[in-house]
Parts: sequence; C-alpha cells; structure tokens
Amino acid sequence: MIRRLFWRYCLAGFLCLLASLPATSIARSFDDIMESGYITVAVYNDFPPYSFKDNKVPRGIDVDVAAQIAKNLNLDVRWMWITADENLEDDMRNAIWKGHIITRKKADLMMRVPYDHKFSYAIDGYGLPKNEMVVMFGPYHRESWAILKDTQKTNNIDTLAIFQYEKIAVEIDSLPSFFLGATIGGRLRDNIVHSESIYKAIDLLKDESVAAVSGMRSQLEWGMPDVGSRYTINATGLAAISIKSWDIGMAVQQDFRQLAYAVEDQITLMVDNGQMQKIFDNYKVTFEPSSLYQESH
Amino acid sequence: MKSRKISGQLLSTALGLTLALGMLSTNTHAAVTDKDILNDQKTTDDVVSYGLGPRGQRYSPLDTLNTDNVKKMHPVWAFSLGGEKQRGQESQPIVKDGVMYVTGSYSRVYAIDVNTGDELWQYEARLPDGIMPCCDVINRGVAIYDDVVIFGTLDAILVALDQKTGKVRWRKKMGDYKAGYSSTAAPMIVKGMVITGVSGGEFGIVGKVEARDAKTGELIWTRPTVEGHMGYLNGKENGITGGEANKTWTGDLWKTGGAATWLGGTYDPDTDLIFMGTGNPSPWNSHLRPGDNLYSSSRLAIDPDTGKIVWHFQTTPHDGWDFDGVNELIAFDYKDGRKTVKAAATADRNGYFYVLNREDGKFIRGFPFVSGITWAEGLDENGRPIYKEGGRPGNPADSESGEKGETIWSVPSFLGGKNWMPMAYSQDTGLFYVPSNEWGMDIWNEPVSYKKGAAYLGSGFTIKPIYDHIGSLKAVDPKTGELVWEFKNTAPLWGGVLATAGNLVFTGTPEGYLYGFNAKTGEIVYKFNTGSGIVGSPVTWEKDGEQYLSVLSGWGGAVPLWGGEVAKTIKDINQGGTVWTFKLPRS
Repeated sequence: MIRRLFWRYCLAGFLCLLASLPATSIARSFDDIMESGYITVAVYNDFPPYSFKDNKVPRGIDVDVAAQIAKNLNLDVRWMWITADENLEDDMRNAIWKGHIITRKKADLMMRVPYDHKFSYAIDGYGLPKNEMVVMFGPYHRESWAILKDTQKTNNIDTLAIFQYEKIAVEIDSLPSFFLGATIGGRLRDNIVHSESIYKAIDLLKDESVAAVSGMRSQLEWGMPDVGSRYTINATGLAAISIKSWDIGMAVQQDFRQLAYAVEDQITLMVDNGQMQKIFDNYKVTFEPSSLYQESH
Repeated sequence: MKSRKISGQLLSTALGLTLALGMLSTNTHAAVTDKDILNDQKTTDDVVSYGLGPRGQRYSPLDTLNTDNVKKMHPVWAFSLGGEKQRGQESQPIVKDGVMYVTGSYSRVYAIDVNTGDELWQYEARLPDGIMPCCDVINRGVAIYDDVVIFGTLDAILVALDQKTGKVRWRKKMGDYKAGYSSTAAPMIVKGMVITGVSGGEFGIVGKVEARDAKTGELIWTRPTVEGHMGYLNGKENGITGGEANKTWTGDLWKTGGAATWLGGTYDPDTDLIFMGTGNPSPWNSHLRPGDNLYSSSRLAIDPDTGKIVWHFQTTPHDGWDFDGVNELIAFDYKDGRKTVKAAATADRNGYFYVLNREDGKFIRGFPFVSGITWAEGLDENGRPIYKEGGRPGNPADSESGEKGETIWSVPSFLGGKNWMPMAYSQDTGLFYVPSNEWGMDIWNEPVSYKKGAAYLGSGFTIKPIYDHIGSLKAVDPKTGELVWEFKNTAPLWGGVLATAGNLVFTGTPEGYLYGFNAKTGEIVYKFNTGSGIVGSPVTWEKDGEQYLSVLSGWGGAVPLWGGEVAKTIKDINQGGTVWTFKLPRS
C-alpha cells in the first residue's frame, strides 16, 4: 500500500524528493536491526521526566522503557537526541522517515509519539492521508493536563475564577496557554505568565510569584515531587479544554511494521509484569496506563 | 567540518592576468571601504553590497547588454557548489577585484576566480546537530568590508573570513541556536559597522537589530524590535523600544513577542537611516494577543549612530495570517510636479504595495499588487488596513468539540503576495519590478494536533493557486499603482530581480530559466535553462569593457516544503547548486 500512496503523492509532486535521498538514509529492516545487534531510538532532548541527560547519562521514563524493550530483544540501544520542531509531524519527519535536516541520520524507533486514531488517519486539505510515512503504535502511557496549585494563594478555591486575581504560569505556545487565554471571555489573559519551559514556570510557583502552573501532569509531578498539604495537582478547572488526556506510544517508518509488532509485544509484557509501573515509580510519576490497557485489564 | 582551500597558483595566475590586461580596478584586493559600498551602484566593475548599493535598488547603470544584443549572451563558466548539499541556493554573489564570493546552502562560503570559475577557497561552518532552522537550510549572501567576508550561519554565528584565504578572523554569537535563533540573511555594512537581524520568530524569541564593528565584530548597539525591551549602546542602556512595555500587547506576551528581523535591511545614505523589516508577532494565535503588537510586521527606520528607532510603519497591525513585515524597503526619489519626493517603497507579504515618505515614515499611497485580497477591504488614509469581517482565521480555542473548525479562504497565502525575494527599481523607467505570487490558502483550526508529546491546537491550511499560474513578475508604477506589464509563470517565483540601464530586467524561475525582459514592455528577450530552479538574485558587473551577469541556480527554499496543488507546479524540478556566469561573446 505504501508504494501506491507514495506514487500518488509523487504525482501530486510533494514527496518526490524522497526518491532522491542518498542510500544511507534508507530505513533498516527488522532483520538488519537484529543482525546488527543494536537499535537506534529517538528521544527528545532535555525533556524530563521522559528523556534527559543526568551527568551525560541518559535517563527518563522513555529512556528506561526503550532500554527495557531493547534488552528484551537482546539489542544494544543507540540514542538519537532530537530537538522538538513545531509539531509532531515535523518531529517524525526529522527523526524517522526523512532524517535530520543537517546530518540526514534517522532512528529506527521514536518514543513519546501520541497514539490517536484521529491523528494517525487524518487527511489533509486535499483528501490525502497526512501521516502515511509512519506507523504509530504501542501506547505505553496516558498523559493529561493538570494544574499545580499553591493552596495558600488560591485559598482552596478550585475554579478558574481565582485566576482573575492570582497569576497562573504556563509554557509558551502550549494548549493550557491557548485555553486559559480564551476561557471566560479572555478575562484571565492579564494573569497568565508565559515561561519558556514548564520547569521555569514551576520555579515561579516555588518562589511564590505565581499561584499555580498548568501543564502535563507527569511534568508537574516531577517538578514538584513533594506536594505535601500546601500544593495540589489535579485537573479541576480544565473540564472544557479540548483534549484532556491522550495516549502516548511510539512510531516507526511505515515499512517497518515487523519491528513495530516486536516492540509492541514487549510493551504488553512490561505492562503485565509490572516493569512499566516500576519505571514510573522510579521517577515518582503516576503511571496511568493507556486506554488500550485500561480496557483490557 | 571546516574545509578551506587556497589555490595559490591559480590565484597568482589570475592576478597576473588581471595586471596584464590592465583591468579597471587600480589594485588587486584593495580593502573595501565605506565609500566603495556607498558608491556600489555607480561603480560598475564590482558588486560590494547585497542589493547593488545600500538602498537595495538592484539597478545597474551598465548598458552594454541591451534588448537587442542580450539574446547573444552565453555562459562563460559554471561553478558547482558540490556535495550532497544541493538545495535552496538563495544567495546573491559579491564581486570584487576578480574574485566572486557566494554562499551556499548549509552555511557555506566560496571564493571563485571570476576569470576562470575556479575555486580559490571554501569555508563550511560546523553546524550543531540540534539546530532547527525554519524553512530550509538556505543563506542569502555575504557582506564584504576591509579585507574580510562576513556572513551569518544557521546556528546564528556571525563569521568574518579573510578575503584571501577564507580563514576565520572573528566569530560572534548573534543568539543561542538552542533558543531558536538562526541567521540566513546577508549582513549589511553601514559606516564601518556590520548590521544584522535574526531569524527564529516562530520559537518565541524577540527580534533585534545589531551593529558591530565590521573589523573586530565587537558589539556597538542592539535594538530589540518588540515594545518593552531595553536597547543598548556601547554596553549602556539606551532606551526601551517603544518607550514602555505592553502598550499594544496583552498580558506578558510582549516578552516573547517575535518580530524577527530575519531578512536584514537596507540603508539610505541620504536620510542616514537603516530600514529594517520585522516578522509576525508570536504566538501565531492572534486571539491571545489583542492589540497592534508593535513593532511586529513593521518597517523600522533606525539611526545608525545610536540604534534608536526614528520612525515605524506597521503594515499588518495585530497580524493573524503570518504576514511578516520583513520585505525590503527601497529608497528612491520621484518628481511630483517640480517637487522631489524622498520616498521608499515596499511590497508586503500582505499583498499591498506601500510608498512611504522615507524621512518620517508617513504613508503616501498604497495599492494591492496581487489580486483577490480577502483579509482587508483596503487601506485608510494612514495606510492602516481596513480589516474585512470574517477575514481573520478563527480562535483555535473555540474548537472545543474536537472537530475541524470553520475553513476560511485567505488571500494572499501565508507565503505572501511577495516573500523574501527582492524586487528591483529602475532609475530609467521609474518602475518597480515585483516578483509576486498569486495564491491563497484555506485555513482552519486543527483540533487533533500534537507538539512535543503534548496535545495541541494547531491550524491546518492548504495553499491553492488562484489562476493557472502562481508566479507573476509585475512592473508597477509607484506613482500611480498602475500595472505596466506582467509576466506570468506557472510555478511560484522565489528569486530576486535585477534591472539595468540597458532597458533590461532579469529574474529566474523555479523551472530553471534565467529570463531577460524588456524593462518597458515586458517582452521576453532572453531565456536560458540553468538546469535547476533559480531562487537566487542575479547581479551584473563589468570587466575589461564587457558586461557580465551571474546568478545561482539550485532549487529549494520554503516552497518545496509545502505540498498540495502548489507542488504540482514544481514536481519536475531537480535539485542543484551552480553559479552561472554569462557575458556577450566578443565580436
């Protein structure tokens, strides 16, 4: 099927450039990977608690999950640290199907790729599939939006109304930024503090310059591990945000399905035998299984 | 990897030839002075600035080539930029003392012997893995001053190379590439200073204009382009841009307000002002930032001695369409009765052509230069757009149902009525030659979208042609708005324009053709296939009484990154990377 789609795109002109890529960037097959004894895994740079370097040692939930998969498959892991581009489509292009813009290097497997049928099978403005170069699979986590609040400042008021009076920090160009900027007729806008990163936003909470931070639950838990009685982390107030939670899986290049099946088997195994829970516990982050496993367990 | 090569033998041979032929230049490798740059337009034996003179008119007084003999023009040499890195050659060559300096994609610089087309040296910047340049890995050219060649890299380093050897003389960081800073524009020399902008507005950086000592790279002044940020002169505070923070912004968004100066600028010696354009405001979702969002999508006039903003003109207040205001502002004079008007003109992304008083930035007139503009009904007496109801893309936060939002048809597309590619102004015809594109976009809110492992609200769009053609080179009369002639091209135009006193206008197309036109009538008088798409800017110069013309060929830039129906017009174009040099055969 991929060939047919490829040529259809070629007729439309867009992806013809692919045909001219040098041979080095051709995807490795499952057999190539097993024979070589290693797998190259793409993880985001500087993205705790999912993937980051701790004194040059790769750490994080995604790092540990990928390392365990490789171990189970008797493979060494080589990391490809990627810088996030403007959206997921760009990241998948850079990491797994077209290759890095400068080095042309690609990974065999990419971690922390949302697993969403609507997204996987989305069509573009011309009625053609948008993401046909990759296959997204193997959900191992369910991420969600939450608000970390300093209850001394919010006075235990749990509705968004308090942010007409108190400041709330968000990461710039994030969904909470969009949502909080638009909700209640835009009345919270003047009290939204935009930070370059969620951890800078949490620092603002720690030094009491804001009353709350909105971001991904895992990052809030990692950034404020000892909430005690003063701080709370929950999704109260975010009922109207367009996507409240979403599954996180992996991606490989489209003609790599055999690898995807092998990796997916390891995820199921790790969820079943408690290894997944243990990895999240190590980072003091709540393990919320993907909706796939919530249904089957 | 840096690779430098000097071919001493070739160089000395070239110099020997030069001396033997008694070339016009008095000495070889004379240091480039401010005077040389100010006189660039008049001195026809060299091209020492981006735009053939600081005003960027891209007009040459050379008339050896004319509409009658240009058909005999033929290539004298072609130079390959080599390797696998053949994409997006948007550079304009610089020519001085028998040497041509060009940049290639991926932050490379070449020095070429103009007599033979031989490489004298090559410099390749070492680019870090983590860079994330928006919109292809291009570079638009070098500046030269004294005995150095200066250019900006994709990781936002300003590098000065020795003109003779290509060895690094100094390197200065213009911004942290990890924060999203990048550089692709050709730097500009003004009063011994190298003036630069920065790219990266999509990542929430704040645009700035900087002046450095061109000989040492030491920073002299810096001027942020968003209201509320402090400027500096010689290390001391030099006034907040716009006076104070947040007059035209909402909340704290001015802190990360974009307005990147990614295309560099022009300089008008007459009024002693630097003209610099600014990009769209950040974040892209305009509903989060009510207000004009100064000085995004604007033209700024800056005093080169102090780095202070003298005047501004905002083409798209409260931008919601990605209409960068970066396009070049070109100083020119015209007669209104007996009065000489000191004007400047620009053809904006937003589809309007503006004529301003360059002394004070006051609006003189404006008119559309592409058809079917949807976002505004026109311009008011101050040049401010009259927004059309329903013309602004919707608020992504409104799509709470998780369904695709309402689709809006918007003209021009976000790639603009005119993008980065510089237009030309002919002092003979008094016309501007504008490389424009006729296209629009369907734009809607995309509720199922993700960014770095997180749910997100993006916007979806498809760019669509309006006619059978997209590209449109237009000869426009700045005094009346009259369209004097038009050349239609199937693919979008993405290369610069050159006008000459020989009644000629040159430009290239993605299809690979270098075209010559009769400047008065638009008749095609020259056509040559360079083998790959042209997205660079042509230059012309004179040597031994012969007129030469050079242009880079090498398809790339932002157009191939976007798909859809536009892609149909470019599907047969191959990659490349070649400098072509032409002249008339000696009769």
